[in-house]
Amino acid sequence: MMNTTNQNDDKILDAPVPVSGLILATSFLRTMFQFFRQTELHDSSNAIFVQANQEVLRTLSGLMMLPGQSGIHLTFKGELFFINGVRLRPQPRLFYIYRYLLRYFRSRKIGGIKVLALPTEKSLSVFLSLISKVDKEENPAQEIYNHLVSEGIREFELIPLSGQLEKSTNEQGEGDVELIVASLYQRLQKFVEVCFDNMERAYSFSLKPVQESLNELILLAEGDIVQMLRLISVKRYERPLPFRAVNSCFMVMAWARSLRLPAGVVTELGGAALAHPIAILSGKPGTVPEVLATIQKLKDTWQLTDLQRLSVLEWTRPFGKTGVYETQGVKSYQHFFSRMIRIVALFEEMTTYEAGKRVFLPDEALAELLKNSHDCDPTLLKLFVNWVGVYPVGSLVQLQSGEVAQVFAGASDPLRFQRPIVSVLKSANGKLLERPQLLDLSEMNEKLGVYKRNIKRSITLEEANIPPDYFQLNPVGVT
Amino acid sequence: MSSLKAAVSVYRDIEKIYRLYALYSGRVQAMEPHVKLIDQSLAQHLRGKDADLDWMQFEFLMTAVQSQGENVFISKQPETTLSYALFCEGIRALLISKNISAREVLDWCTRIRKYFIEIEKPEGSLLDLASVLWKNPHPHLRVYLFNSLLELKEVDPAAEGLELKNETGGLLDKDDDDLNNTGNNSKDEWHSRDMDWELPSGDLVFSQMDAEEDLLKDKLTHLKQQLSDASINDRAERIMRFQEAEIEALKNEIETYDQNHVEFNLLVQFFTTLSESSDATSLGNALILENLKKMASSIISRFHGGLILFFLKRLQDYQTAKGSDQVTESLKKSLMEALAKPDHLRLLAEALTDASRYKIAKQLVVYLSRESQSHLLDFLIDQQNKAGIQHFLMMLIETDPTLDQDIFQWGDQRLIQVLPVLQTIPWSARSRFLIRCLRHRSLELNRAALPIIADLPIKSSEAMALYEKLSAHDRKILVDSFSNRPVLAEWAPFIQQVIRSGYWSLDNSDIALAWARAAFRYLGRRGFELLDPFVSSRKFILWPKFSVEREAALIAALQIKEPQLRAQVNQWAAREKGLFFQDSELKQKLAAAAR
Repeated sequence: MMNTTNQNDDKILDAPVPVSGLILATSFLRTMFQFFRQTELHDSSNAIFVQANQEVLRTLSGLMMLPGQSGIHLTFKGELFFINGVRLRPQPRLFYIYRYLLRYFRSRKIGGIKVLALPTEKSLSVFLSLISKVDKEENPAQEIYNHLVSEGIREFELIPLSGQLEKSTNEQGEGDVELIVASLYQRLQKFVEVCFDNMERAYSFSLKPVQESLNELILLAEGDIVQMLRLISVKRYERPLPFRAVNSCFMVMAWARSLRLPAGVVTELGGAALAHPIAILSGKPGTVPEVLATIQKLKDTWQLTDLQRLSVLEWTRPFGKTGVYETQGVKSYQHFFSRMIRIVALFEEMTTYEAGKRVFLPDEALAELLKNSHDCDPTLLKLFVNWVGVYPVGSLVQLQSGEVAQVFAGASDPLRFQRPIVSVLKSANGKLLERPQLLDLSEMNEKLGVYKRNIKRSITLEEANIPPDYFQLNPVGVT
Repeated sequence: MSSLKAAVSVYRDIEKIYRLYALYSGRVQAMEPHVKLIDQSLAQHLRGKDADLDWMQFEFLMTAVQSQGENVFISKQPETTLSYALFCEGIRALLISKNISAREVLDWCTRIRKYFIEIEKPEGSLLDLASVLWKNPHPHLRVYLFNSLLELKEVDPAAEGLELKNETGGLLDKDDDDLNNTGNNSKDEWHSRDMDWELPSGDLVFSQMDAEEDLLKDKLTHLKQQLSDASINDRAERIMRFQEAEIEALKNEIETYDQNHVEFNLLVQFFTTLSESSDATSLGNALILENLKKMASSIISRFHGGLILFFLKRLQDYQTAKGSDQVTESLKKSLMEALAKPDHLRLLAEALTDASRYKIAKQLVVYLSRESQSHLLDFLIDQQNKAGIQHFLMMLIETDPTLDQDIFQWGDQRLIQVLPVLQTIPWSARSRFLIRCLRHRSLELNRAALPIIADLPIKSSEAMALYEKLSAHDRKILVDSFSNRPVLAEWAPFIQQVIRSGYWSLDNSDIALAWARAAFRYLGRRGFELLDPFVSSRKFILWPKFSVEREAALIAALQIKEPQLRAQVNQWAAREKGLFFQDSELKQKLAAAAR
């Protein structure tokens, strides 16, 4: 009896149900990816394209049938896709699809696609094939448009990459990203400073909720966050604690992004890192009543989750042999949030300038952390060093050829993480370059079979003797 | 049934529930019949006689779902499926407990559906679904996040030389086969301890690591030496290699959120601070108290055995050390409030019949208010959960010395429901309680108590007063109880009085027969004496004077098994078999008995 009823109930699986626009948009990108990917592997006459084309049409028609969608306008900015102006949040498991499509369109100088009406199977096939075959060097968008007109296909329009950039002047373009990151940094730094200085009175300053800033920060690319760390790495502060808080927040969020953790998890971790100095402020680091009293004072301005509270309480504890610590005979295991924050916080503590205290160079700080193997979780520490590189972004280095440079980005070749991309600031004779010049240290001298340039050693800001404003200049391309 | 077949069915059930919400636009009543069916199906496949797994895991691929490496669900139009939504949002796997209910799956799916509705709004949530589900409060469902450590594991360094670095910058080393093999078998699974209701303390991590340590000692020492010698030079790349075991342990920890772990660590810190603090009114302590109250509710909502017991133990320790002060009272109150929530009462009701949770439930019942007790009972009654009612009553009997009075606050209807269960439980105050039921103004309650009335030593006058107010039907129930229950001497006077006064045959022949049986059972030979006038009296010599009473008494007598009364029965049979005008069947039986 139950089996029969269950079989009837199985019809539920075939019944039509409304589908989320986000899912349909994702599927549309996925099916396009699958189509274009096949063009790299198979001849256009291959029957595989029939199904691939049908799949694109299926997802496109699903998307166009959503209420209020008369057409589809697909654009991208930075690493983000937009459909009809709505940002598609990058989904961790589909990053590779997004990146592939971005490269695919950018290499063809295409800045966006407009689907004005639901195409036929044939017209869609023609359109997609044109994109895949177009001559990348000429004016691909115009070329495709001319073909479409000649074939009488009017459902599509293409936006050239330059046109897309021009059109977005009233929106936030790629060039504004640095400003956005800088303003977020300042906002968070002000938030922390006001909170730490005013405690329970911080509420009266009407600060923007910290979560809003973190939510904005998570939308930015990992590289943009790291670049902000590069810019501020050469600053000197009279009161370093708020800066350490924000630096730790930026660093741990970028690190967690590299681990592909979901956005909500990353912002919670970032929030915990931002709050980590509460344990220091309380006088005796790690004493629970004092830390909790501080958290309590800030509760109207700065709400912490259970996990964030635990992280603030735990990060001051050394990892020890196993990460297990004992309280009144009860053993507890440090949460990975606490362990990640400990690494980042200690790194920041060592590398941030503070009067009367030894300041470690970034590579020295990493060596120091690695040396004290019971201080931090060794696995996470190794992951951190792998991510941040032996010479972290922002490190000042002297090259063996005599130039002074700042590490700009991780190595282009992941197997050579001691060979980052650097921004050369001073020539070998000690003269400031007109503009910083990017240099990939993994470049080989083909004739001699050796690297063109090597890092000799890391140096301090004082040794480098570079005017602070100079670091703000955008470097010119990799040579 | 194969576990694959069960996995196919279970996953289809989950997909069905996800679609149900959309089909019925979230209308719970309309979904209810389907949910019930799916619940039966889940029970059959997860808890049926052939089910042998405590947990079932589903891995999400782009267009398929796998369990134990086999496809269990494929969709041609993935956009409409839950699996595709979860895949896109960064969920790697879903683990479900065999104790899951369709209701819990529905709640979980509702959360996902609402998320997709919410993000379509212009002011929609910025939180991603993976993060929402990461902290999912459903005790029988757990999601595993996709993360880049998974990719580290998938890299085969053998093909690439000593080490590889993936696009996220991770390094992997597999040249230590011994370590890798050990790591695979004894991977650090402490985070999954809540599955077995273990206390999520560091003890487990510690002991597991100790066990591993002997095997790994040389390798770990080697690794530590490398780390301690580390300096940033050309050897750095070698030092920065990963062992598979450590990556596996970290991956397990990162990809699923363990609320128990977080709360356990906080509980330890909070209770320790409270017990060490001399100033209970300090600001820090105020926050601790506030947090402990919240946590009480949280751990009850997940009904984590280890944590609940740990919380209660620390509370008791604190109370012993500090006395019954405001803090403990306040925490007890918060426990009571947390338990009073309908969802939590439902969990408690379930726990009452679960052998592994019974111990916890028993400790928690103490913290139920009278009102919550009534509500808990309602859940049990609604579910017709006799075992649960029995356990609940047993716990109350153990913990509440005035239960026989307090129980009347539950109201007549609840009492009527629990009376049949109560009669199966040994309880010193049962008589007092039942007598109160019989004296109660509610006739319905009186009736409910009737089947067990024979167990009560009540006075003859009281019994007579009660008997007079009963209907014929209820009288029959009462008198039948004299045949079913153990003989209690206190009832003999009442039975004697009923026979003498002739009440016994006023209603109908069935009741008369029941009374005659009672008379023989409670009064023995005296019963024969009392009934003999009804048997031996004649009308015009050939007819019985009290035909109904005579027949009832004789049938009851013929059914007597006690050897000491057989002589009396035979005597009656010999005397009565000759009566001319009587029922032929009875006449034959009497003749047979006389022989």
